[in-house]
Amino acid sequence: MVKELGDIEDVIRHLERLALIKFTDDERVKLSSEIRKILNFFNQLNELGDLKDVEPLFHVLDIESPLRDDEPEVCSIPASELLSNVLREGSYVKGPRTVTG
Amino acid sequence: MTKLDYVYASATELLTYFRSDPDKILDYLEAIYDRIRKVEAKVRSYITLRSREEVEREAENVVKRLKQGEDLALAGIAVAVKDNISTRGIRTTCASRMLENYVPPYDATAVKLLKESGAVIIGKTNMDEFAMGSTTETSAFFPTRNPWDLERVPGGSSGGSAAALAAGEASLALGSDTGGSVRCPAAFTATVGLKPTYGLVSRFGLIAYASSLDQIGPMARTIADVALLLSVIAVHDPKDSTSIPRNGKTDYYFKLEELMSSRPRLRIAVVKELWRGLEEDVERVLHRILDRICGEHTCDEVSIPITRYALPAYYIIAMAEASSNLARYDGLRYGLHVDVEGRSWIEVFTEVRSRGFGFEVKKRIALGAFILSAGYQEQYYIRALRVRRLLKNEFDRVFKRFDLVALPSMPIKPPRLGEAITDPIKLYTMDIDTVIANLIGSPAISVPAGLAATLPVGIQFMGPPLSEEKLLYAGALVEELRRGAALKPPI
Amino acid sequence: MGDVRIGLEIHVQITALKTKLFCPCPADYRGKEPNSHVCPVCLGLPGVLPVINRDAVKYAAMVAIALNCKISDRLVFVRKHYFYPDMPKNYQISQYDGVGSTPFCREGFLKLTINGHEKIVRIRRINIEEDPGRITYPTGDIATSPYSLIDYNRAGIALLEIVTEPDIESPQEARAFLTKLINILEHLGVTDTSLEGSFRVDANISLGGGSRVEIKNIGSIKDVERALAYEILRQRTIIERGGIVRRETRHWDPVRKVTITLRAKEVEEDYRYFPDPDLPPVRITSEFIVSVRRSMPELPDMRIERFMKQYGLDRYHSTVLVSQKWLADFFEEAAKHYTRYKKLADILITDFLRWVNEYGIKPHELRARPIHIARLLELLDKGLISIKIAKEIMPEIVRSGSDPEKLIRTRGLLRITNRDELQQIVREVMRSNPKAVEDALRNPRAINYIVGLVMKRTRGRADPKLTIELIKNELQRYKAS
Repeated sequence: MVKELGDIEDVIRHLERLALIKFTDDERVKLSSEIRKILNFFNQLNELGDLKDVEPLFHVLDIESPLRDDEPEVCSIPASELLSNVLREGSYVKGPRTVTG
Repeated sequence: MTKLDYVYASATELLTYFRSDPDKILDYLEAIYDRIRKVEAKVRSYITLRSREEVEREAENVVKRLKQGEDLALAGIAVAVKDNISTRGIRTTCASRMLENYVPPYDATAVKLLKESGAVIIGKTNMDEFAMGSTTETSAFFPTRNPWDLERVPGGSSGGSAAALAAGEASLALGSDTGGSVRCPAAFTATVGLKPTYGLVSRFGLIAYASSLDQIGPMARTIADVALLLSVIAVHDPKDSTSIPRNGKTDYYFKLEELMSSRPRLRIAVVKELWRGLEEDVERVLHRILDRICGEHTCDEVSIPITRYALPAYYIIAMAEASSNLARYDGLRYGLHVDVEGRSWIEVFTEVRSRGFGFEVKKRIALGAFILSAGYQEQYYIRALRVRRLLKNEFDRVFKRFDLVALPSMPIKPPRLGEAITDPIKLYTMDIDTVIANLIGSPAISVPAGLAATLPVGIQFMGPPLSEEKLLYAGALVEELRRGAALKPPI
Repeated sequence: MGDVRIGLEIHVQITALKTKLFCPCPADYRGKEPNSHVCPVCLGLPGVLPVINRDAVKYAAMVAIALNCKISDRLVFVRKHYFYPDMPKNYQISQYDGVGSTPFCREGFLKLTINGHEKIVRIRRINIEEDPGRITYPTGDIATSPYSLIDYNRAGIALLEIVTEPDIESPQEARAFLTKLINILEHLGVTDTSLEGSFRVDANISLGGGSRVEIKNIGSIKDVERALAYEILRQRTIIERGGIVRRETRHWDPVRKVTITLRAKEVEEDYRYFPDPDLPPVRITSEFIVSVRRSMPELPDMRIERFMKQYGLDRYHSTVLVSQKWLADFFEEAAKHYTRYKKLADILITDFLRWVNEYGIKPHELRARPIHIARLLELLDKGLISIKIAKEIMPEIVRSGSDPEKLIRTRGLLRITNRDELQQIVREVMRSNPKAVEDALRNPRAINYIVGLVMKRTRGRADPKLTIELIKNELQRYKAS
């Protein structure tokens, strides 16, 4: 089943909220024309019809994740280097407000 | 050696030379820096060039180690590293404003291995922003130019690494390849680029674009040098859960020499769908080489119709994974940050991400989020993965009968700056012959096939997983056929 | 209350682990300097990759077995995407039931006994996932702070997410379920729930088939019970007034003891799950499950049966003891030194437990040792102290962990069994109470009054038998004179 794309402006607004990205007005103009082109390009895959019986291939290798022993290792990198380019307050990372409005 | 001899000498030659006289390493590095001073302003391969003093200090230590009798696989060799591979203490930007001032606190495993083998990292090379592009034009800082024609792009996204090699600004280079990012610039600059089997080289420290497709790849001017570099970086890494388990190192250089002396006959498949739509002069160069290879080896044409869906499948998967991998850039722990006081997290994150990422990256993140979102995931993402399975099945079948597949690296000659990036589909179509290897996890190599007029053309070989030795062998055969035709750019 | 449906989503940290779920950073982050237990991996720096902690899988399998779940034949991790300042990667590595992915285990159940009848709560799934960091506020208040303070020490700690079907029908049942669950987790050694923040509950509740309301992030069993009771009352009031309960997410305020609406969602909730490309699935073999099963410690239900058999206790005593792992452990340790098990069980679940609760002592803070209780009972058996004294010093033993024998000696609480000493006391008491003696001489039953006086004088330490004997002797002497 193919879900139809609604109004392109709505789609862009939705994606901006989903990805926490804002496009400038110029970018928005460019994007709306490109999105259609790109989705048409993607929709070529619909020509292949029903693929329900084909298992999606997530991992190209036939290997398993290794399991690590539960042995602690204190990170040798000093905190000042780990969080060098960061706003800090004491040992804390300084972050924005977590409530809006 | 003269200065020019130094900068265009192969790493293999240099190593022999340095072994008998370790002090020559410093002369060589001086020559490299002189070369950089001469050509860098025109080519612009590097985002960050390390200071000569710092590199010399490091090199002196290598000289000492050599004199003490240590066996160093890449003693003193100047390596250019793509700017999406983490280097402790050296800024790693991904050619993005987002990471303009980011200095990694750790080394990528590949970088660690380079250092252990005595290689000297000379600088971090330009690329498409977050490796999203095939021309090195989406770099947030500046485009890199093709040493063969400064009006043209060097390809991408590892364009800086390829250009540095072609221009004699480094002897070896690391790139990364998600859909052709090592092979495309190799083809456009007449250098050699290998995309290893997925899982052969550790991805730890490679800043992810699309995790199921990304691989770090060795780049050099000769096949032997690529073999040498691959031997150093292809090591199992417990820090990468997708690293193929194996014991010890493989000496690809030695294996290549063995194959070159035993000269086994290769069975080569020519997938006809992948030889369509080439620029005419590109096609001529490629066929000339292919015909000569097929004179000595067994070539057969095969048809794999599903390959025409590889490109959309690839872009769907790459964008989906990119939207996830690039979610972490919010300015709190590293990278671009803005004032947080009195502002909500949504406001802050949105500002950081909108200012930090360029248009192509934002577009791929947004489309990737769309592809994965409720209601569309099955239609795009899951479907693309089903196509990926079909593609893998087809090639598994081909690789039962054939050692390798021969195909073009790029269907076109290097475009002029600004020419390719105007139309996204045209830009994406450049990758038509390279994305398959990433989708099916296969290794693939691009080798200079000759020149179309004055511009380089590359031929590509792709094999089943872990067939790197045969790819290097096929590459060496091409190199042999080309002997005499010097592939040094006019710069 | 037959129309109430409650489902619980419980997050417990696997506190038994020494390292985080995907990196070898030490997991004992509590009380440590902020951002001191971090590395590139748990900070989500560009280029890092996760590596799975084997023991996390082992402990998850243990819990799954204990909750009668089906364990998946592959371990698959997915990425769950949402932005938040405590999330280093802005996605959480978790598990999910989707294309190419599966929860670690599903379809289990837990049997409860509530007021004598049996109740089954089905388990929908158990996932393994990573904990985010911790956010605090410079003013201590989320609403007034101009910025936040983030500590990533907790980021990457291994969590189990246990989700039930909506089978729970009252706050009391929810409490019974959680109590039993915690007891199982503690018996397995997976989680020490006394550690701050190691146990969090989200509760879904609906009335009469109406809208589902979710209450987020409740920190204790008591608060779950209170929050649910409050929520039932709130929803009932709305319904009785003809209103409609809105589907929403609420927050439990443990101080004001009310649930409050969380602000309406401003961010899209679309988690965009997909299998983590950095973590190829791991096959879970039947050998692995067999080995986990073999290494599993005894579960509470089995322990109750064993207590009945090994110690000859009745079901009531066994159940009360085993309902809290530390208490059962305490009993078994004491039983090594004292073999009248019934008596031991009695004193533990009455006097001892009463004072532990009275003082609000958490199990890990308890200073009383099992051998102390064993000694106390021995003193009692030997007649060296009276039951009254035993009861009197119990709070002291519980609070300070003093050795009862020393306590009794230093305080002079030993029973007076020395004939001469007691004789002296008896004589003095009788001499100073001639009226009582007169009564006793006339009426032998009045002797008890004198016994009472002696006891009062000795603060209960006088040996009662000897006291009576001595009083009788004295009375004979009075008669004779």
